[in-house]
Amino acid sequence: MWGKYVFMKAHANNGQDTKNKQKIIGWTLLMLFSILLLSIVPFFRFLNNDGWPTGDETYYHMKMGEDLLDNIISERSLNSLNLFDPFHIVIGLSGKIVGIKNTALFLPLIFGLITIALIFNILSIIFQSPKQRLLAAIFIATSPIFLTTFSQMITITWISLIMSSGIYFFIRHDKYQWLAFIILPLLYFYNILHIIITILVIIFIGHKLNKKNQSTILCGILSILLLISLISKDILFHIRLLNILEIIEIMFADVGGQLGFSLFGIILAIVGIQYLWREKKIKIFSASMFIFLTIITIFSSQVYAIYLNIFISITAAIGFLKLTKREWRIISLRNITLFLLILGVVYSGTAIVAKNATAMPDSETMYALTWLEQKSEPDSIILSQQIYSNIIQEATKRRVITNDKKLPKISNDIEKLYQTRRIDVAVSLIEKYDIDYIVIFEEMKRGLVWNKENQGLLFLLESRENFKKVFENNKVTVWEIKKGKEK
Amino acid sequence: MEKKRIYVLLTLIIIISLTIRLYFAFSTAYFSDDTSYFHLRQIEYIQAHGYPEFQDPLSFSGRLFLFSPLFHYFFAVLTYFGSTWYLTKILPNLFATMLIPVIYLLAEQMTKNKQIAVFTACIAAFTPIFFVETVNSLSVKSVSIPLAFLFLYFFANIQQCKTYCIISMISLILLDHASIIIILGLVVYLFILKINFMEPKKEEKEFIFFSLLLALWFYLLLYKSALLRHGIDILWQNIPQQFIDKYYYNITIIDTIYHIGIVPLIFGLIVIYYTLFKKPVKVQHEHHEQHRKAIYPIISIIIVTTILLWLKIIEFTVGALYLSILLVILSGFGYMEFHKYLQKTKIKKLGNIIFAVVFMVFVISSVVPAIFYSHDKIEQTITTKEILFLRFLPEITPKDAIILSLVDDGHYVEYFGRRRTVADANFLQIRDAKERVDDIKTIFTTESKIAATKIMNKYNAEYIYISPTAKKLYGIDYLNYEDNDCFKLIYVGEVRLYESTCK
Repeated sequence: MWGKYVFMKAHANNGQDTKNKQKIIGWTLLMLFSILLLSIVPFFRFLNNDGWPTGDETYYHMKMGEDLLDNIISERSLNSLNLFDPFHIVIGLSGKIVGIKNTALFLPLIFGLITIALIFNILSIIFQSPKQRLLAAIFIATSPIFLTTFSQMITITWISLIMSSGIYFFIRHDKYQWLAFIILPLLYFYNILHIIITILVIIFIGHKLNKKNQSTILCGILSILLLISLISKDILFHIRLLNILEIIEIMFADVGGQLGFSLFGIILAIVGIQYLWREKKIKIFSASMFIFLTIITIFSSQVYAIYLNIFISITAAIGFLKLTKREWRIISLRNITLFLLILGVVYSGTAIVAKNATAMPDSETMYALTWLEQKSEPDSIILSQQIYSNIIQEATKRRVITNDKKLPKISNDIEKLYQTRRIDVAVSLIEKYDIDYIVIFEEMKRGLVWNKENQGLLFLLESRENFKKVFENNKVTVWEIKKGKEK
Repeated sequence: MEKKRIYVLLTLIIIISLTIRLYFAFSTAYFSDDTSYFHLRQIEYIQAHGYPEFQDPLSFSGRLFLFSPLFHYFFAVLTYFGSTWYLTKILPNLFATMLIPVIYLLAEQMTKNKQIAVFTACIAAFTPIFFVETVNSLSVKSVSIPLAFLFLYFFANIQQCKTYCIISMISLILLDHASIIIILGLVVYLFILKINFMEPKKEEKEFIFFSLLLALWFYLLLYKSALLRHGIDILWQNIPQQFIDKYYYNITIIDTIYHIGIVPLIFGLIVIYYTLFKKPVKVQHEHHEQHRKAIYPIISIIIVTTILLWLKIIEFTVGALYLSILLVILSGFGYMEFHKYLQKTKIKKLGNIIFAVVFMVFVISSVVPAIFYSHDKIEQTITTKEILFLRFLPEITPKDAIILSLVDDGHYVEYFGRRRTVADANFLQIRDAKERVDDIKTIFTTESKIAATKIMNKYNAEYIYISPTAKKLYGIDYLNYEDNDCFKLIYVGEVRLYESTCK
C-alpha cells in the first residue's frame, strides 16, 4: 500500500516536473521569438532613419513626455487638449535617462516583451498544456495588431501593459495578487470602454478561479472609477459609422488596416469556433464578450481590436490544433494546407513589420523638419496638415497650426486657406494666425488636401511673391511667408 | 440514341463552332481589343527573354505590372514553334471550343441523359457573351473558362479525380484571379448543404479549404504592394471613376437576355427555383436528393456571381461569362425535367415539336445574336490604316518619345508603335490614374493652348495621337488649339499626330 502511494506520488511529481520543464522551454522559445520579431522595427529605424520612430501618435507622446517633466504646459501646441496621462511620466523619466528618441523606439519593444510573457502565464486559465499555451501565445505575438501596437509608442501600448499585468497579478494566489488593485485603476485615465472591458474580464476570471471576493472588491473599485469618469469626462467614447468596405479595410491588415487582423488568422479562428460550437464549449459569457468587442471595434475605435485579437488568436490556435489532429481523406493536401496556413500567418506578420519599419516619417521628411528647426526662429508658427502636426512639433520644436477637426473654427479657416486662390483672403488668414512657414508633404498634393496641380493655395505659392520656397526634397516642401508684402 | 451517334453529333458541333469562330477570327488581321496586345507583348517578351516584362518602360512611361504570367508562358511555349499571329488566332478559339465537350461531360454527369447533354453542349457553344468575348481576342478567359468547368466536373467526381481536381484548381488560380468566384461559390455550396441538413463529402471540405487558402495566399503575395497602396479599392483594379462604369455596371434583365440567351435563362432560373425552394415528393426524395447535391455547386456559384455583379465587385463581362455558362448547364437539367413533365401530360405526343420550338428559340436568341455581335465586334477592330500609321511611329518619333493617346489606344501605341504612353487601360499600381484620365480628356477637349502645353510638360509628353476612336468619342476631327506654334501637325489622315514644342 505504502509502496503504491510512493510510486503514485513519484509518478505525479514526474509529470509535474515534465510540465514545468515544458513550460520553461515554451516560455524561453516564446521570448526569443518575440525579441526577434519585435526588435526588427526599432533596430531598422535606429539604423536607417536616424533613430526617428514611426507613427504620428508616437510623436505626440514624445512631446507630452518631454513637456511634463520640463513643466511646460505645451506652449508648442496650439490645438491639442492636454490631459494628464501616467504614460507620459514613464516616457518622460525614460527620456531623461536614455533620450526621448531611444525611449520612443525601445520602450514599446520592452512593453511588448513584458506583455507577451504575462499573456503566456494568463493563458494557463484556458490551456492546461504548455504546448497549446505556447501556440496561442505565438499566434498573439505574430498577429499584425500586436506587432503594430508594440512597434509604436501609442496609448494602447501602455494600456495593454496595464491590462496584462493587472490580470496577471489578479490570477495569482499569493500576496502579489493585491498589486492588481493598484495597477488596474490606472485605466481611469483612459477611455471608459477599457474599464468596462476590465470589469467584465475580472468577473469572468473571478468566477473561473473561484476568487469571488477579490473580484467583487476590484470590480467595485473599477465601477466607482467608471462612475467618476461618466460624471467628470467630457468625451466618453467616440462613435463612427462606416460602410462595409471601410469595415473590411480597417479590420484586415492584409488590405491595409493598421490595427487589423490577419486573414489567415481569421480563417483559423473560424475553424476553431466551429469546433468549439460543435463540442458545445462556447460559453454565453465568451460569446457575448466577443460580440461586444466586435461592436466597439467596428463602431468606436480600432484600438479595441487588441482585446478581440486575444479571442481570435486563442480560437485560431484551437483551430490549428484541430486541423493537425484531424484525419484527412486527401492526405497530400494535409501538409500543404498546414504549410499554407503557417505561411499565411507569418506573411501577415512580416508584411506589417515591413510596413511599420518603413512607415512615415522617413529620413528625408525628418531631414527637412530638422533643417527647419535650425533655420527658423523659436517663436515661429508652422502651417501644415493635422496628421503631421505631432511629427512637426516634435522635430522642429515649433508651434503648429493645422485643420484639427476638434477646433472647428480654426479648422474651417485653414481649409479655406488651403483652397483659396485669392491672395487677399490668403494673406488675411496668414496674418490672423501669424503663420511664418507652410510645410507641404507630398501626400498633401496627392489627394490629402489637393487633387490637382495648382489647386487653391498651391497656385498662390507658385505664382505670388508673398511666398518663398526655402527648402524642397522628394517628400517635403517648405515655404516661408514674406511678411509685409502687399495683399 | 446510340453512343456513337452522340459522339458524332458532339464532334459536329465542335467543328461547326470552331469553323465559325475561325471564320470571324481570320476575317481581320488584328485583335478586336487593346488588352490582347498587352498579352501579345508579354508573350513575345517571354519568347525573347525567357521571363515576362514586369517592369515595363512603355506603359504609363514606365511602371511595374502585377499579374500572374502562367497564361503568357503557356502561349509563349505553344506559339514558339510556329507563327505567333496564326497561333494566337487559332489557339484561343480552340481552347474556347473545348468548353463544348466539358459542358457535355458536366451535363451528362448531372442528367444521366446523353441527348440532353449534347443539347446543353450545343447551347454552350453559342452562348452570345462567351462567343463574342473569345472569338477575336487573346484573352485569358478562353482558357480559364473551359478549365473552370473542367474543374467542376472533376470536383463532382472528387473521390475518383483527386489529383486532377488539385491540378486544375492550382492552374486556375495561377491563370486567372476570377477563379476566386468558383472558390467562393464552393464555400457557399458548403453552407447550402448545411442549411439543407446534408453532409458534404470529407474530400470536398478538405479541398475547398485548401483552395481557399491557396488562392488567398497567392493573391495576397502577388498583389501585396497594390493592396497596401490601394486598400480595398484593388477590387476595382484602381480603375478611375470615369472608367468604372465601362467595366462595372448593374445587371438588368435585358442585359442578361442579350448576353446569355433566353433559353438557358428561363430553364436555368426554373431549375434554381425548384432546387432551392420546392420540396420534392417523398417517393422521389432520394433520387431528387442526389440531383440536388449535383446541382448545388452550380447554383452556389451562380449565387456568388450574382451577388458580386449586384455589388459591382466584379467586371460585368467576367460575371456574365460565368453566369451564362452556369445557367446553360442548369438549362439542360431544366429541359430534362420539363420533358419528363410533358410525358405526364396529354400533350406528350408533341414532345418532338416542343423540342423543335425550343431549339428554334435557342437558334434565334443565342446563335443569331452570337454571330451578329461577333460581326459587330470585328467591325470595331482597329483599322489597317491605324496599324500602318502606328507601325510608322518609330520612324517619325525619337526612341524615348512619350505619346499622349486615348486610354483605350494605349496598348496599341505600346505594341505597334513601341513608344511610351501617358496612360493605358491597366491602372493597377498607378498613383495618379484619375488625374491622368482627366488630363487626357482635357487635351482632347480644351480650347486653351496653355492648359494643353502644361499637361504635355507635366508628363514630358511630346506627341498627341488622335485615333478614329478618339475622334468619335470627343466629336473632334482636330485639336481645338492646333497651330504651328506649340502644336505642330506631323501626320494627317485617318489618324492625326501632333508634336508639342513649347516648354
